[in-house]
Amino acid sequence: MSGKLKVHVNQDKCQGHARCKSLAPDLFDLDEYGNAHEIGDGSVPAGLEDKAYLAQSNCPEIAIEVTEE
Amino acid sequence: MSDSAIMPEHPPVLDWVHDFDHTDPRWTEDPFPIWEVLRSASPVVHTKRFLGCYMPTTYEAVKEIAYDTEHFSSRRVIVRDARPEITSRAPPITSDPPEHKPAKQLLLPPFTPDAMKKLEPRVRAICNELIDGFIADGKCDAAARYTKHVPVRAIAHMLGIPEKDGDLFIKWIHEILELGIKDDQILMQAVREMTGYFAGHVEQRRKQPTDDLISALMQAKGKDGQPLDD
Repeated sequence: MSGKLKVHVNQDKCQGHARCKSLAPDLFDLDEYGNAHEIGDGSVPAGLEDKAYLAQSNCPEIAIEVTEE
Repeated sequence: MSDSAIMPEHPPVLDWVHDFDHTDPRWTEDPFPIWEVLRSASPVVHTKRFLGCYMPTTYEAVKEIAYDTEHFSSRRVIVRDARPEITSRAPPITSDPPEHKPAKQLLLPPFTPDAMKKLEPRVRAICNELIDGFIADGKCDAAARYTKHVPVRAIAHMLGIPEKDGDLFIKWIHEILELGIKDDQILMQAVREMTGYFAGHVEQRRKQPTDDLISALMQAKGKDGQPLDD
């Protein structure tokens, strides 16, 4: 049984493409300047694991980390 | 007929792997079989055309180059016959780190999903106006009469300039990015026209600021707190 997932947006790498927010709006949000960050502490609710990996693989800046707790 | 008809001719390509040419009509009509040939030959191919240039052919090679900003620059974004001195930059497209991020950050807020939502009614109206232009005909060339006009008019709307001037953008894009690959005079003339056009709009806004994207960029401050240059 695999552990729970966590997502994190590396702020140095993020360039505000907002792909993560479009693909996984439950996991990512944008600040007023358009930079992305994870919602809350980045914990991925059960059932949204695929969305986390989808957002990660779609990030043009490779700025999203997905870790297993 | 494609534009290659009025472009100066390059010698026809006999060996795609060692002498490729992305302006060859066979490439512009259907590049995919040519890319297959290049890809099976090497992850990076070279041509002596365009003063010598290399092209990555695989996903891995493209990715490696795109993320290696230490060895590869974005200074020049168009492969052309000539390589004149760079007189005007186009940040953030032609920016490298560390200049790239601040240049891109300036442009993010007007392009957030929320900002786009506010733009949606106008863009829908633009689409409807275009459709009105050909609906009576019952058919149309969708690229020529519809899709190519949508982005330029939407951008004109954001910049706060007449939407009809989107037609000028289409002309300049064609002259700079397509004809300009082989014809320096067409390129320079188009760059002069475009620079003059926007200088006029910047000047107008210096006298009377507006609430559009051009004014927003004019009011933007750099890292040093100073306004950006034109």
